Amino acid sequence: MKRSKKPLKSARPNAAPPLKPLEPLNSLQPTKTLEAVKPSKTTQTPASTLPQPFEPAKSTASTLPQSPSKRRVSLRRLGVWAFRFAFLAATLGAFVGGSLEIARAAAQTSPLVFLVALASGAAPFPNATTAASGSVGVFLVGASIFSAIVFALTLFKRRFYCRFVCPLGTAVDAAALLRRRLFPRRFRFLRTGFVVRSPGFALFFGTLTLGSLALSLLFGVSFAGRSALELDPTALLSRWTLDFPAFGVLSGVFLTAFVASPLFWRFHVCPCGALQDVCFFGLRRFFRRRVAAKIAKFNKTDKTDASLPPPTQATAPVDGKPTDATERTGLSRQIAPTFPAQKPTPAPVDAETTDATGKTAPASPLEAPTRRRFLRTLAVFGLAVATLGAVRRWSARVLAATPFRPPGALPEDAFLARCARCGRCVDVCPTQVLRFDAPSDAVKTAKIDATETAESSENADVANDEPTADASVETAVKVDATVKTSPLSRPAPRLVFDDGAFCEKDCVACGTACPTGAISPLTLDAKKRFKIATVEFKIERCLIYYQQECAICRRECPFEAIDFVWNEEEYASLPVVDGEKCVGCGRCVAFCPGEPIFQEFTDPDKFDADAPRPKALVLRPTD
Amino acid sequence: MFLSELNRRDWLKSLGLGASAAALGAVGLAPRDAAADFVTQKDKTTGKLLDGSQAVPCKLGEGGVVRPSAVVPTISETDVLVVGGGPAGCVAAISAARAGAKTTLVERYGHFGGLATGGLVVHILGHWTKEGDKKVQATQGIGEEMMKRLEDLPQGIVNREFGRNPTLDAEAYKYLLVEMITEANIEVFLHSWAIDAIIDDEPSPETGNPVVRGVVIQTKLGPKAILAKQVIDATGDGDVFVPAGAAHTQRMYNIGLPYRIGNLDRAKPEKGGKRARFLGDVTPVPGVRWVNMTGPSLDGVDVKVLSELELKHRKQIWKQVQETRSTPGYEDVYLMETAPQIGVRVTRVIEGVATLKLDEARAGKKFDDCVGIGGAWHGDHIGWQIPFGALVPKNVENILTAGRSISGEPLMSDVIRVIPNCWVSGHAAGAAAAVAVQDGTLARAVSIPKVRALLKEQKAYLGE
Ligand SMILES: Cc1cc2nc3c(=O)[nH]c(=O)nc-3n(C[C@H](O)[C@H](O)[C@H](O)COP(=O)(O)OP(=O)(O)OC[C@H]3O[C@@H](n4cnc5c(N)ncnc54)[C@H](O)[C@@H]3O)c2cc1C
Ligand code: SF4
Ligand code: SF4
Ligand code: SF4
Repeated sequence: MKRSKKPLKSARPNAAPPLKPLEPLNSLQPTKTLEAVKPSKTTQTPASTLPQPFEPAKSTASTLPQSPSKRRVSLRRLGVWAFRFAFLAATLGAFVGGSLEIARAAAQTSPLVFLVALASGAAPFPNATTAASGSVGVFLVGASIFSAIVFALTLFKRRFYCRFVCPLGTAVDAAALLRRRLFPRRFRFLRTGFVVRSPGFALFFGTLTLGSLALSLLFGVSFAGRSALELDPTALLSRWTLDFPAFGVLSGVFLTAFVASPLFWRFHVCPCGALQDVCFFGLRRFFRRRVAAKIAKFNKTDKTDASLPPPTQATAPVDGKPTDATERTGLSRQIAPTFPAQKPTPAPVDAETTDATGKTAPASPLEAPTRRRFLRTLAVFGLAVATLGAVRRWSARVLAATPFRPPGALPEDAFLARCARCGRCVDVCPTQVLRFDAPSDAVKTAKIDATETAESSENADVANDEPTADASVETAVKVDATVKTSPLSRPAPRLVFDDGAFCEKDCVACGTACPTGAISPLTLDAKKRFKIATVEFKIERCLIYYQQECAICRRECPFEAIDFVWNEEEYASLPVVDGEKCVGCGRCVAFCPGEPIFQEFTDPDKFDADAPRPKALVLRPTD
Repeated sequence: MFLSELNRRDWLKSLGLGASAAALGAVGLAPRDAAADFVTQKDKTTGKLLDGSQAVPCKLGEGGVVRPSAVVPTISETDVLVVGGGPAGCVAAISAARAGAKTTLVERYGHFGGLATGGLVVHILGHWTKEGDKKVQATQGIGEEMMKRLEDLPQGIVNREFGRNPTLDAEAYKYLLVEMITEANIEVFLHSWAIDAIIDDEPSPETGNPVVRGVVIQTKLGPKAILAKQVIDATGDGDVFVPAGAAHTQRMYNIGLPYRIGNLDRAKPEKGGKRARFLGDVTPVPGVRWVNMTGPSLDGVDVKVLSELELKHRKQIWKQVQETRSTPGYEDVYLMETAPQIGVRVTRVIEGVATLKLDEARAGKKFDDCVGIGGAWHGDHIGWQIPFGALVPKNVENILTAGRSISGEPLMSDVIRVIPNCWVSGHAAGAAAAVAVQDGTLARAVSIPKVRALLKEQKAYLGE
């Protein structure tokens, strides 16, 4: 940290003023940058670092004014900015309350959403495959084609999406631009540059982002990938008005963009950015082996510029001057410190070395890092991996508690990938069983009881001091504790069998309303056969087991899936659920009065007849 | 083969032709071979009083037992004859009597209340409904009056708070029914088992259907006839409408045997110990709980089944209570009483002019001839209208049914059969019979507006 500050300080004064006016417009240049950058990167061994970031940017900046077609170039720049802002405005407008189709089309352009959807088995163009006709249909197909083009370009033009399309990128750049306009020098003393430049940060966030991304692609979205998806820029933007965590993340993004640099988000956190780099560099490496020699040559020539750090450096921005330039131009900064950093060990070490030595010490992998540095790097990396593991475990638990998707929902991974969290299905659900929120209070949750802890709490119940009503309440609370939403986002809609909510037999509203195909529009017939959940009967909670009158579940099941069967051993006719007929609509659960309260053993003043009681019928995930 | 598949003639045959001939004779449309004087109740030729004590014994012959024809003495003539003194029958009788009809109530046991007292089914399920966000008490009228009056009795009823399902004390309810039935001046025949319907030998000129004219009851002194202008079958098992030839369906259902345990106030459940399982539910009497039983699903009118189940259930009850007593802290618990009346839930259900369907009830279907609003077990759904047609058999005149045997789909039975809904259907039947008597119409043709007016006068809730 200390080290990174130093360069920053020195760098700022030099670079800032002259470049100012040009920076925002640099967005155009990256293409060029790209070319320059890539080669150097390619030369790197996988373990080491990436190409030089600012170098191209700088050169661009300087060359631009001199270009003969100056007017044309600035026109182009203007056009690009116009497009970016239009796209941002349309996206935001649509997310905040306008057209769902536009919102969806915007979200779909994200390569992350696109690829994860593909990886999880969903058709690549949900919009196009959704039944829609007329002009809406045409628009959706058009939007799908557009997103395919964006994705293709992202493969070949480094960070294409990031630079030209991503609405969050535009917004972040705008923030940075605004900062520079308003306070050209104001924040220098804050010395926040380290946030962007520190290899420690880069390593940590890089491992996190890429790791979760890799997990999601390897094992499906269910695990850590879910958190990667939730940090997708379009997903974040689509949620910011709805959901406090998303709002918080976005605020953080803008704040760092404002006080430090838009690059922090771009290169350290944004999973979509990481993905773009992976795709791009992966492809490069694959196709461009043959130009290796060329690149090597390029690098050599490059190094002749003494003011620039050597191409081998991992975290290019470490260097003072360039950093500043990078920081301001944001967009043109194609250098992805993150990417190299993500490579487990060597890269960061490199970076550290560089950092330590400042401008003057071009680090070479051959220069052995000190043991301390090595250990520190290892520690940061370990921390990142541990965090990842924790997130993974945590998200698996969250998922275990939220297994019920609306009828017609794609398989879980595909559903999560496609669902835009737009809320249309939630709005139309007549019984309000379909919701975003996890049940908030224990009272409601007693009826849900969908999680594993229910099991353990049951035992606790048996061992309870007294068979009081309070015992059941406690059970309910324990159950509740395990049902949580993601801290990062509003979760995808799910069925919350709560408050007597259940999925109505003759309803296909959600599938019909879903614009993304995450919930397929089912016919009523198909819907009646769609298995939402499985019902499990817990004998020791059934009123009949305690010799009280009940037959409610049988009566309420719209599919006649419950019958009472004589059980000689228990000496009772107990409900038996026919797994073939039951679709898991939850109606029986909603109506099951649940385990009896032994009134006589309860303090009459404390006795609460309406207290939540654990249900004898419990919904479980189908698999 | 169930009785439901027998037609009326087969049924009469199965009882022995003599009985039916006697029945017909008793109505005064004498078959030639019976020589009774219906005014003096004496045999015309012998001059002997026909009190049934000299009933002709059955004879074994022609490969079977034959009941020879005999005259059945008529012991009462009445306007409204209610058979079965359970929750439905008692309310029906009280309603008709209060409306001014001469009313007679026949009950096979020595007490009133049916399953709610003799069956020890003391939990009143289902007088609440959900209207929007509110709970509304659908059971008003005489049923509500009963609950109110139970409240005035010491330990008569518990949990009468708004929205809850109360539990009554069987003995208190038996007592209250005696009070209310005598108040209403109802003629009572206890220990009288209805064994047959009396059918007019002329079918109804309006509909061509057979017309019920009364009931034959079995007493210690042999069969007796009770003649009536309108008959209400509130036996729960259709013991009258079946022999009358009414179309009906025969159902199997769980048959259990509830019991009561005492000394629970002395129970000291061990901290952290095992919870006793067979503790049932509270009753208004401290320390006393009633324990229900589902039992297997069998034919509740088959005497072999009932006998077998009584034996089995009693053994089980003993076992259950011993298990409770062996649970630490519950040693003092004892078996107070097993239900004198086996818990038959649903057997024969009439095929009515209208049939209640669960889906329609849930959807709040409206009927022009609505004569009551049924409730939900836990106030968990909306009230459902009971059409008069559900009490009226398709093909027999002047007999209505009430209680658990009114016309409904199998799944609807569970909603129909609970005590408060039996009160409501009983109330409707009683009022309708009274109006039919007053107007001299067939029960089927009764003026619905008048019935509704009478019900409202008697504070019944009709949804408005
Ligand atoms: C085990 C069990 C548990 C139940 N639990 C509940 C509960 O918790 N809450 C609830 O609300 N409901 C419960 N029910 C249902 C409810 O108790 C009955 O459905 C209700 O009492 C029926 O009332 P009813 O008047 O129609 O018939 P019944 O109560 O059966 O009354 C019929 C009356 O007619 C008499 N009778 C029958 N045949 C003849 C005849 N041939 N001649 C003369 N008299 C005759 C009977 O002796 C009886 O008195 C339960 C039922 C059972 C069996
Ligand atoms: S099918 Fe209807 S009731 Fe079921 S979740 Fe979808 S919208 Fe809700
Ligand atoms: S058993 Fe329950 S969850 Fe299954 S179909 Fe029936 S009501 Fe729905
Ligand atoms: S509704 Fe619940 S308590 Fe009632 S019978 Fe069914 S499982 Fe048992």
